[in-house]
Amino acid sequence: MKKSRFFALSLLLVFSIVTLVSGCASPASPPAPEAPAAETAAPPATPAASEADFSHLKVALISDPIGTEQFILQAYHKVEEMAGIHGFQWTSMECSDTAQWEENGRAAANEGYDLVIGVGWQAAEPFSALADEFDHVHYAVIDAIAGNDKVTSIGFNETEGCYVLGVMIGTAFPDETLYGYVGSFQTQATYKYRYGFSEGVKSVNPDAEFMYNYTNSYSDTSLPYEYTTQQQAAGATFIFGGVAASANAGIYQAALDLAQRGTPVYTTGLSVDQTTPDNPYIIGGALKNTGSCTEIIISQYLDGTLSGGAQILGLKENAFGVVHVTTDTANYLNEEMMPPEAIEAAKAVAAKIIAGELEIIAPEESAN
Amino acid sequence: MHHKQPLGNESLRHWLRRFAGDLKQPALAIFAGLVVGGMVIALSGFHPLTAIGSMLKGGFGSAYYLTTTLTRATPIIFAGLAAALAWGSGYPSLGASGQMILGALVCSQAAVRFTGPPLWVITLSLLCGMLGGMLYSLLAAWISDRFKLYLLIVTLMLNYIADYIASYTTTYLVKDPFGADASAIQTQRIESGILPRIFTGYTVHWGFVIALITVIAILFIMKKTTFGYRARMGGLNPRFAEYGGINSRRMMYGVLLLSGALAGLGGACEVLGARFRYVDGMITSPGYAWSGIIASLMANNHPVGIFFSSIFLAGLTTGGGAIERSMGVPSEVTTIIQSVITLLITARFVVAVRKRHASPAPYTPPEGGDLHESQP
Repeated sequence: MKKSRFFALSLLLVFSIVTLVSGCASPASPPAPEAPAAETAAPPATPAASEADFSHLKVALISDPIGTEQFILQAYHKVEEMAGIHGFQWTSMECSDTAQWEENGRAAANEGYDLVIGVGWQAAEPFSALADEFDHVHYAVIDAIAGNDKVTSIGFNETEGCYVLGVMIGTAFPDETLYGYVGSFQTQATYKYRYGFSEGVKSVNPDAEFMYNYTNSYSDTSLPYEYTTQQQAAGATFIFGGVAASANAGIYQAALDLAQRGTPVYTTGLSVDQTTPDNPYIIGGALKNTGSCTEIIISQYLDGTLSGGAQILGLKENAFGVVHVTTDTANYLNEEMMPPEAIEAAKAVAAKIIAGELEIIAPEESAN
Repeated sequence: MHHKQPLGNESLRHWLRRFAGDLKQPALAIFAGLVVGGMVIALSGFHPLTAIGSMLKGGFGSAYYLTTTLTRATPIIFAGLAAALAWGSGYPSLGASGQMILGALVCSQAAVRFTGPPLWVITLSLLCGMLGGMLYSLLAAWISDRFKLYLLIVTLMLNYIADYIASYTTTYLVKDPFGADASAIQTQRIESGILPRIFTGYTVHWGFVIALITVIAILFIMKKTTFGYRARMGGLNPRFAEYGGINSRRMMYGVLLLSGALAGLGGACEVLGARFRYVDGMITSPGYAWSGIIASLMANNHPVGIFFSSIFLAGLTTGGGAIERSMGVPSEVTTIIQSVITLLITARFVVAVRKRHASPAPYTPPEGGDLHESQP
């Protein structure tokens, strides 16, 4: 009897604290800045600024949990910015497990969203199925090609970007005979990186040889570490970091450890600018700008020109770029290892590709 | 032998009182979970009552939300039944996750290889899934029996092995050759022989009905068959059961095989009804098996209780997604609520065990292995 009364009392206490806290906290504390929580409705922009009224439009952004993931944050901030300009409503849906990609895509349709943008390859398959079920909703996927043509798919032209990176590395490491490469899965999708990079290096250093290893995982960091040390032992001073933005950490750690042992290796980042003063051995990288992709999708949707099917965006659209080449600033530049002439050579090639004077297309891997 | 009592006022009142007593603990735990969840919501700057209201509405509030919840609840019900059967019989197994994974994987392969009318393919694939889960459970039972290891540890560790086996198989041996998107690690899509949806436009599929039938079947087995009686006796008091002539070794194999079959069936239904293929991580990422164990804890291993607690837990997850979409409240609040519920319900078990140990006749494990020990 006594015990249950104690329990009831303590519950009452807890509950009153909650009401107190909520009463005091909500007006006083602004929303935590680091939490990328969604704002449901951005205040409508001044009507004079936008030519049409989009306030009835609802846009949903679906992704993995955002946290500090730059790859998703670029898209998130772009939607936020465009909502401010055009005055549409928007929300962000984060999928904490893999089943939620479909659930959120379906919920968005049921809750009246007009445009649903998925950031990441996980969206491709569920959106393909949903696009058939919900004709009134426009689904779009960034960084994957969906099987259903009703879905707008934004893919990246990885080949030309990696070619530019290859030219840069070939110029910066002209005396190398062996270049390393650590990737995730051996598929046609990753072959575009490998082909572009290798051809770029060979355009500068025709006798270059390459060593490729695959970890068969997007998350394992111990295998990239092992492969890095092995490729270094085999004679490579530069190793292309091609696993995944996060799993590349294994390569970066290996570079730090190898430098301490007096046998430094250099590497590059993926998807976002991964150069940092904390790790001078990351000397560049390939960039996927989900912000530009989001901007293209939303602008086309607002214009009424957004159609289904695949769009492959690359250097020209600034969707797939290269650190130091397509961006004016970088987190860090290791000037000793990445001399100005390497950056200039890469910029020259990038300009040629954008002008259409040079075309790099990866063949089917099995054709080689 | 006393004569059968008519369902009079007295017995009805007695029954109601017992029912209320059974519900008291889970109800308190749920209430406390929501209170703590509300605190977290309040601390992140939202109004707790509005948020919890929208959460419950987003989990159960309309035909659409309810059916989404039922879809998510389906694998949880199977995992809950599997856990309840094992735990309630005195063989604490945490192996539902691994058994579901192998059930799902085997079923996905069976369904793309068998040909014939859909009903035939579905039946065969579901049976293959059950067999997959059963064999994996048998392995755990054998290891535990042969080497006298704690079943709890064996089943827990085998979960990781199952996940890696499935990951390897999906990556190297049976990767979808036709997928447009090469990034996804998944098997070939099942075209015919999928479990149809119950209502058009809603995701809930016939796997939910199979789950409901399974609940009734398990209720029948536990209450009306000698197997069920022996299993329950073993769970209530293993020494008494042994003394009464029940072969505990044979019971362990029987219980764990059935438990593995249930988990395997759960994985198979998820493949045939929701994903239409095996996708790497499809069981572990949503944590179906763990939610199932929480569901069976909440229901004190009662099959009907598990049915409802699974739906409740699934509703928390779908509702958590809804408040994230509409209000921007992080959906992790769901995890906090679930954890508080688990904590409070487990506390009851600890109290029960301590009471038993404090009683005049201390409990000693039987000779040669103490598989029963961790069961209160």
